Amino acid sequence: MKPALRNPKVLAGSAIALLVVLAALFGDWFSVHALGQDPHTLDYLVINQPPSGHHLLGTTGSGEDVLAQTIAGARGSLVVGLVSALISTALGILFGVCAGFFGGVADTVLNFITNLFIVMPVFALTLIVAGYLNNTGTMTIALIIGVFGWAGGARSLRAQTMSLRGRDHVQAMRMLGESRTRLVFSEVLPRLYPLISAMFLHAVIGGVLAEAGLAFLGVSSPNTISWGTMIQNAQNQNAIINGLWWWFLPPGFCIAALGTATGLINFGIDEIANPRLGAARRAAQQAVKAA
Amino acid sequence: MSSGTRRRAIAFARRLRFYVIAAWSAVTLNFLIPRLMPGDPAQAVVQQLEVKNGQNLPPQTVEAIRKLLGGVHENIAVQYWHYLGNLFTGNLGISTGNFPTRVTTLIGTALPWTMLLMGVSTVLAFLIGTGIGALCGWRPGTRTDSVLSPLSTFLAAVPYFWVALFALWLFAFRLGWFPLAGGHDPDADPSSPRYWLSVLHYGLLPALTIVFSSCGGWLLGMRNMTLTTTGEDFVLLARAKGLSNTRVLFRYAARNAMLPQLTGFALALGAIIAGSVLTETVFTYPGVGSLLKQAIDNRDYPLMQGILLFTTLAVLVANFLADSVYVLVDPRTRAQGGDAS
Amino acid sequence: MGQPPDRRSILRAGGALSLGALAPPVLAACGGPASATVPRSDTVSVLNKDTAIVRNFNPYSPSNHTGPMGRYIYEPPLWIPRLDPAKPQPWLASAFSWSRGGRELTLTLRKGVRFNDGSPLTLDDFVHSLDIPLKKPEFNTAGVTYTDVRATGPDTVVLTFDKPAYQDLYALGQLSVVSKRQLAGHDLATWNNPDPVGTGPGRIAAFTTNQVRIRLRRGYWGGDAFPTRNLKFPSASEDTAKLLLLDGDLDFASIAWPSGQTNFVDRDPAQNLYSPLPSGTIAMIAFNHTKAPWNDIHVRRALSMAIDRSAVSRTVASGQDPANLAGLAPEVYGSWLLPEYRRSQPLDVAGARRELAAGGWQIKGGNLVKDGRTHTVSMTSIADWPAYRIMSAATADQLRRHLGLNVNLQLQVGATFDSHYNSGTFDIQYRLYSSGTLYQFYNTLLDGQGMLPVGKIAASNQMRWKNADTDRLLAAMRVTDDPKLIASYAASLQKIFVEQLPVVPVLWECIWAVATRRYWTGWPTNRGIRHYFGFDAAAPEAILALKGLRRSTT
Repeated sequence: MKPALRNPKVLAGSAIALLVVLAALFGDWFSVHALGQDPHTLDYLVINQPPSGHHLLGTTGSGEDVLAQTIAGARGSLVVGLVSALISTALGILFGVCAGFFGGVADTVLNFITNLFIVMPVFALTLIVAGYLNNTGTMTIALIIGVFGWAGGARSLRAQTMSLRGRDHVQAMRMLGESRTRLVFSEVLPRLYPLISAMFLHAVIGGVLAEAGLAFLGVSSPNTISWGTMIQNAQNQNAIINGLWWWFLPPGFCIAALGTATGLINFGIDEIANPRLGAARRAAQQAVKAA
Repeated sequence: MSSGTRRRAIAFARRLRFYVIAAWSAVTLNFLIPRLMPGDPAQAVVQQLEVKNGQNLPPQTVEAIRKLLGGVHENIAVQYWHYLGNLFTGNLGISTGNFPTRVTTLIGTALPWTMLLMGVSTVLAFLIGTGIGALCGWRPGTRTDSVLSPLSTFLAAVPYFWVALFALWLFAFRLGWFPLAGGHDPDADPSSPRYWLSVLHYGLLPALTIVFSSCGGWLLGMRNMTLTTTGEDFVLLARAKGLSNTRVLFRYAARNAMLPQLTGFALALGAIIAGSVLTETVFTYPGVGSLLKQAIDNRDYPLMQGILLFTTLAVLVANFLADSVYVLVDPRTRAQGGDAS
Repeated sequence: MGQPPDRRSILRAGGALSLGALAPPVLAACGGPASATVPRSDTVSVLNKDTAIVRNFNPYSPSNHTGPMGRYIYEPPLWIPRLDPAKPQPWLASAFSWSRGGRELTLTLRKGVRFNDGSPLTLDDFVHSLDIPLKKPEFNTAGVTYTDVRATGPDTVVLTFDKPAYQDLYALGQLSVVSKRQLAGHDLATWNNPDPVGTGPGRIAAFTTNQVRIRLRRGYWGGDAFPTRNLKFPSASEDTAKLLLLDGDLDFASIAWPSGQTNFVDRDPAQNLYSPLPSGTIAMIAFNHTKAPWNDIHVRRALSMAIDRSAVSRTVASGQDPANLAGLAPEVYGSWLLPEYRRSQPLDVAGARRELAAGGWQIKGGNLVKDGRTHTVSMTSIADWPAYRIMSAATADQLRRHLGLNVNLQLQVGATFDSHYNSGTFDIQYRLYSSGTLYQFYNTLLDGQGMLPVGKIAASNQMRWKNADTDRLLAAMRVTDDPKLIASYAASLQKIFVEQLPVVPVLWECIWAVATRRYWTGWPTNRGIRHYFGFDAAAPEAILALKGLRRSTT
């Protein structure tokens, strides 16, 4: 953990991510008590107000406080991101590691399913299924995104697992009669940890983006405030045409910030966990200096 | 020599087998998914008409629409059998949302637009992103790299439609450089050069937004792969031999780093139809994405199925081609006999 | 070794690539929007809200993607004015009269009408058009109710009904009169009719995926007095349409524009018009009358009194004003509307509390409580329309502010929302409602005859309203064309509506008109114009609206 936190990229990324998590956890309380704004309150007296002392980020076309909505949106978006990432990562581990480690028929079957999901038009399917199950709520949206989005991760996990299985000490322990399930947990999974965490972080922002896209197409949960539904509402009420930048910009910017945060953490983890990458980088830098 | 050819043939056959089974599974899923979902096309059409007219329809009209679009009451196995039979004869049925237009007609009209717009912009994004990515990975830590890599991380995380909407407002509305909606100049004669110039003009802003948004992903992928490859022995060896930097980059490092990029490229090419929904919605582009959006709004099963089918087949074909290229380019896959089956 | 130059040259190549990508628009911009065959200033440009248009002019298609173009091709036998549905006007039928106590309708075919392919409209064509919905009930998309069609003279047709049908003329304003010759040999269930033949003034001049051009012919039976012969219908989403209007690419669009006054009209008050006009449709709270507490009049009244409708109206800010007590827009139903019901329900929190107390209701923890039983307030609304998201949220907000009711508002997609309504599986819904004539307005909403049990899909009285007086009045209204009797029944029905509150009317829903005077003036956007208002309406109104335009002099 320590080397991770010494890495400036990880540090910056974690700080942003932490802010979003805090907003998701305590945002409601903060909005109501510190800002004095409820994200659900409509107020026709302050429609389309630019940022001011009272409404720090202005108001929407129906008089909602944009800052309070942005804070509330953190929860909506993050929940979708986390839940979908949990689902897709779990499925990815299940399919990828099992296929890679056990081989044989299990591998054939699991790998076939994985490849099938890789070649399926995932976004189209997500869109169609979400369109049908419309307004069933955030969790369903997250479930759909997760269930259709695990295959890429499973593929890389499988490859990594296969290479781990082939290593001498694992082979030796197998010959010594160590149970295969134990080997998965003691030898394989711990070594896959950096890859899995990178996958997970990638899936979080993937989920947030997918939800935003679905919201824009009008098939997300319309009853939850998320950054995606905020952009959709802003678009529906012509925020850009009418010059209401304070309504249109914050949610998109927050998504991008969260994405950058996860990207930075991934960069950092990569450098720490993959010494060869670090070494290569140093070597390359030296080459540049030498030149 | 002959055993190598045989091994290659076996690898090829295995791949082919996978693709045939995958195609069948996809076709079956396309059949099942709409049927497993709740929803009623007749009700959807009624509701859309009411919204459009701002008036409730008389009960007799609603009844007629139910009769017209009420759908099939055969058992599901018979439906499946008919569906497979129709697929082979190229009959995808009649769209309920655009009654009585054939699904093949609708897709046939829309597909060239999507292929053109999404195809060109995906290739451009891939080339630009991969090119710059190779440079960044080759010389990590330079100013270019330290600006571009974090910037790409940021760009890859910006919601595409958010950028596209903003671009539409700024470049098409405020600055007036581009048209606001459509795929071509509606007043131009389709055989005139003016029409073809207008196709270019109308497609450019959507294409640029796609390149802008997806370039970053290619850049990062290529950068990291190049970075990893430059640490590999054969590259270090090539460098030690005193080969020129450019030569090492292109002949050794980039070439090997390209392989995973190619797989991603194949997937991206296959996914363009699905990916076009957001673009075409923002820019009112007359492609398959707009059609899919409409199909979903209308609960138009036949149209949805048709689009899904085309989309899946596109991905399969793109992957098959990429796989085949992979076998030719990468000696390691050749030796292992492939892992796709 | 000179690596840096290498790198730079590669980067330069990348730059050239992106510059190369930028070059074409400049070129294309130079090639510019020059010589179309018809100048923009001689074309009326009206929005087609469909973004994926298909060359489909099958007159029986229920598709909502046929666009407004068909209004200039196909015409109906009668014109049912949207703003005065009780007074049907002759159109292709030059006269109509009732006999046998409203069981027979005689239509006289107009003389001298020609199709747009030059052939005359014959009685045979007319009978055939009226007969198609009978022969093939699945093509009865106009909703006709007669059971027999027969020609009784050289230019007369008699329609026979099973029961008095004075109130059923509406469908004859929806039916398209077609050319028998053109339809012959085509399967209506698979035929797109790409080059439609109709009696209207228009012909398809050009069709692309983004735009349809209509050219008006000479020799239209209704005269040639059109301000131009060129119409175009570009397609765009509502968002893009607003940009097109601001850019002057569009002359007219039927779309709502939130804060349209400040955001559109004020940008150029001399040219820009935004005029929402109540269409007879209401935005209302509908109750499930089979469920407690909604079957209790006190609860319904309390809800109605606790809504400040002007606050809801100002929150939506698109121009929907508060609805009156009777839910009957004076613009449409003015002649029937009782004067005492012209006002809206004002906010009356004390009154609302009194009603709740009278019914034995208390509000605890945001829920309605009576006799120890707790009822949560679950309201659903439609997700497809942004305005309804805001309207329903603002209404829920009102109930929370004034009564402390914790309204659980759920937005549902249209199809789901409607199917719950039709099967009676909802609590309360915030929805829109309208239906042609005054009789239809009450009949579709409240007719208890043949009321279906919860779970069955109903096409009328989905709220399951059961009231003997309502049924009696509707039955009596059905069998008369005596204006005095109708007025008295209408008055009694209004009284029931206002006193029993089967629904709570909140706002008027509107016909939207956004127009610019850049090229044309005389847009049907003024409240003074009684009979026509737009291009999305029936053919007669679209034709009259076009005739009313004049070339802009500025």
